[in-house]
Amino acid sequence: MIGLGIESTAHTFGASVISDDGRILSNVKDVYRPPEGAGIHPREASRHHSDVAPKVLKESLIKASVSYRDLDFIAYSAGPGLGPCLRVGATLARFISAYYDKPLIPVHHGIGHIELGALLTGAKDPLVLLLSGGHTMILSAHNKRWRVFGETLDITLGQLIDQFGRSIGFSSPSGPQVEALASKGKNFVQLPYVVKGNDLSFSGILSAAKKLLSRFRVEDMAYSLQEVAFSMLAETAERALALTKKPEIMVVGGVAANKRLKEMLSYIAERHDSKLFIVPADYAGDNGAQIAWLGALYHKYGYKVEPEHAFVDQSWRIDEVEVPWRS
Amino acid sequence: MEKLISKGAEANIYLGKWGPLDVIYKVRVKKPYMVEDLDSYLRRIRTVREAKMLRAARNCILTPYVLYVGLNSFTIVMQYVYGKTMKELINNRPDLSFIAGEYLAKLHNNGIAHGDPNTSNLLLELNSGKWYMIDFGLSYYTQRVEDYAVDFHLFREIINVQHSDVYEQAYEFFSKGYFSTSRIAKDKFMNKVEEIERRGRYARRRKFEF
Repeated sequence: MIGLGIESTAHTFGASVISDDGRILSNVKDVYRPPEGAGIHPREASRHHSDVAPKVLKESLIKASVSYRDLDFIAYSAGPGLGPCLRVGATLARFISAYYDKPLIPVHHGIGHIELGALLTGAKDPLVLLLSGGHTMILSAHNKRWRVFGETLDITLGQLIDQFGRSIGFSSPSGPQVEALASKGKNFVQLPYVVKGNDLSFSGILSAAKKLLSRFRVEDMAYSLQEVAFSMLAETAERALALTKKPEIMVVGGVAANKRLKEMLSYIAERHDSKLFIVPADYAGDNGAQIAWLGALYHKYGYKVEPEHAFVDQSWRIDEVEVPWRS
Repeated sequence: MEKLISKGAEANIYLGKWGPLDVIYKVRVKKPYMVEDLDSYLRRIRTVREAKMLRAARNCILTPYVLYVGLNSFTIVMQYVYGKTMKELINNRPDLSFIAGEYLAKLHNNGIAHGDPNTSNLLLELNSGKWYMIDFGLSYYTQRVEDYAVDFHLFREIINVQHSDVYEQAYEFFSKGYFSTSRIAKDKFMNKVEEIERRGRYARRRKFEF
């Protein structure tokens, strides 16, 4: 069994062919880069996706040495994300599914990050930190759902870093550039540390950091922003570990690539006798494989929709989605 | 002399003696992964806050007596409550969450937000059958309904993730307990709770059917 996954949630248009035993046969992507200092414009990004889609799709099939006719299912990212971008992927998936008469499977982008992470790291039943552009959540699986242990009450960690990066002129996504800058920071500047139970709030850090840029070196602000935000996350993760006593903790999503965060989480995992898994850097950002693999999991359970009922949902919430393979 | 009985996220809990009394030593331990300034700031402010609010909350609910506060060692010595947490009991007795609602509303009526209400922070003392609330490190004085609504949301979130098998019953009892005691009108309060949950990411609920 092999299937195609199409990802078009935000910056990235990606396509991947995967087998149902978890071999990634191809994983091709093309990332939209907005002008420096600007954020992603949904319309511009969706135009980019439409432009690159034929090339990306074709390449993903060639690399996997398959044709559309060989596929057993088509999966697409149905949300959450930017409406115009999601519709590009959904429309293509709908068309391919109808034309070649293949089962069509809409999947949740965030769960794609998690399940691909589990496939690649071998984590069985981890406490999950989902740190993508659109999610900052701590989750654990129970009774066929990924349940939210704690989450941000406003912007995500990814947005915090990205928007700070943009305010100093970096191009989005600016995580790696902010990280490089932060490694040159020395002086710690106190920023709002907001933890409410297991929930977090980052918007205060962003406002304060931008404002303080006029008084402190930009390296020190990047450093302090990372330290405060990651400490908040590490603290809530530790709280969740202490409460759930999970033997594994897994980090997925674009922010998983950050080395400083990894350092903090390694310490926590060790303190609570838990094993830390981090999704490989090549698969940390949005990609087609996360969609294809999730499609493969659903395909085993016979999940599909008719093309006319294919949908996108910009605000699709993760704990509403059934994941039948997770007890 | 002191025996480590629990390793929480931010503190080690030791069982020890204070004169003839059995007591808890709650020691906020250094987090080596944090910047020194941030770590000591957080440990100090939370130790002070917890000691102060444990006392303040005694006006309306039961909390352990504070015997000693060590600001340099980030330590609070308090009465040892021998019993079980609500977390251990609730899966068989979802009606117990009534108490959680009642206690939370009592705090709110007295202008206190707990900041971290969950089923591990309520202890049933086995000898007396009385409930104690603990872990006040994130609590604060406030008159804002929004802060109370965040408390309510946090407890609901925790029973949803940790006690999902009994979530519906447990939530119903929690809500009953809360509104049996709260001075705020239910409609107005629930609007606030929903507003907070909407502000979160992707708060729209959708029934997804294949």
